[in-house]
Amino acid sequence: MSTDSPLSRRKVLLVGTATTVATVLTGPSLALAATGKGSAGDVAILSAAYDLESQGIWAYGAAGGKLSDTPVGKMVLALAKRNQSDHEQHRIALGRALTSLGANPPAPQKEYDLSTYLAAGEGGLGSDGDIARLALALEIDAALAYQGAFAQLKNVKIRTAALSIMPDEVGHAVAIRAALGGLMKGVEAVPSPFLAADTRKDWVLKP
Amino acid sequence: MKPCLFLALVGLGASAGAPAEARSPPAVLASSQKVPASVTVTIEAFQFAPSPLKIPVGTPVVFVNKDAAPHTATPDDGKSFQGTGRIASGDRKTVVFEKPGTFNYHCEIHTTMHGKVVVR
Repeated sequence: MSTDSPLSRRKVLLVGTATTVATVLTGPSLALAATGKGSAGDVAILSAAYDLESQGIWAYGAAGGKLSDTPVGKMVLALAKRNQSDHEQHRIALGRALTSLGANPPAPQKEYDLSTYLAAGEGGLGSDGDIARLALALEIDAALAYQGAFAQLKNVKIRTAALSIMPDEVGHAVAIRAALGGLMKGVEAVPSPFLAADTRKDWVLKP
Repeated sequence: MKPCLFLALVGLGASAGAPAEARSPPAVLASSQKVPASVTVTIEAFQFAPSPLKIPVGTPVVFVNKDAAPHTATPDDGKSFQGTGRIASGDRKTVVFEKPGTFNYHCEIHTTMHGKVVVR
């Protein structure tokens, strides 16, 4: 709730209701986001993040159908479902933050263009390992994108709440790397003391 | 990036050396304006800025990615100009807009990111 301007009783009640709903659906951190205060920049950032979550949900769904029926494929599928579920929760949270700012969340695309990842050799759809590497690259870029963009959110309470999503994206990346570490020699779950633009190459796996 | 820069140099040279009757028709008012050496579009926090960007024909536009994640500047119609391809964090890519018109573009990776270049 904003502290820099007085709120009418009606607004307090509305914010209170939204806060309660947010707490029930998405946990306490998102309750902080229901402030009704934001900027066009905040909406742009949150909309892009919402769309990134939609991309992640779509990618795990699309790739999941291409995994093999082998033990490796089943392991990657279980991980994909777990991560996809988290992305669904993130999207709900981001959608709620957007709504609290008076904005509509962007409609998910029917499909997403991942060709820049394929062209860069950062995964593919040809094998279980390729699919896992693609998921890894997407998770890392989501974490990096959030790291930079969420820090620029003007609304402090939404910024705090949004930043709580970022470690989960890193967690996904670490989980994927840990799984791949069981298949590929020399793959450490945490390859660098930092996850930043200049260490991205250490985190992403190329053949 | 190199081909784009090469195109920019060729474009500027051709413009300077072309006979008057071979130049663009008067309706393209901006063609008589001085073409800037380059104009920068910054990519930061999931946004292209400035947008819309208004430039004279032949202006090289440098897309600079200040985000930690990669981005692209890709024409909405897929063909009206050569997209940047992936721009890694901290990198820049140059596009020369050789024809007048309004060019809408987006980031392939982050589909809510949109920008516009108006070339006159």
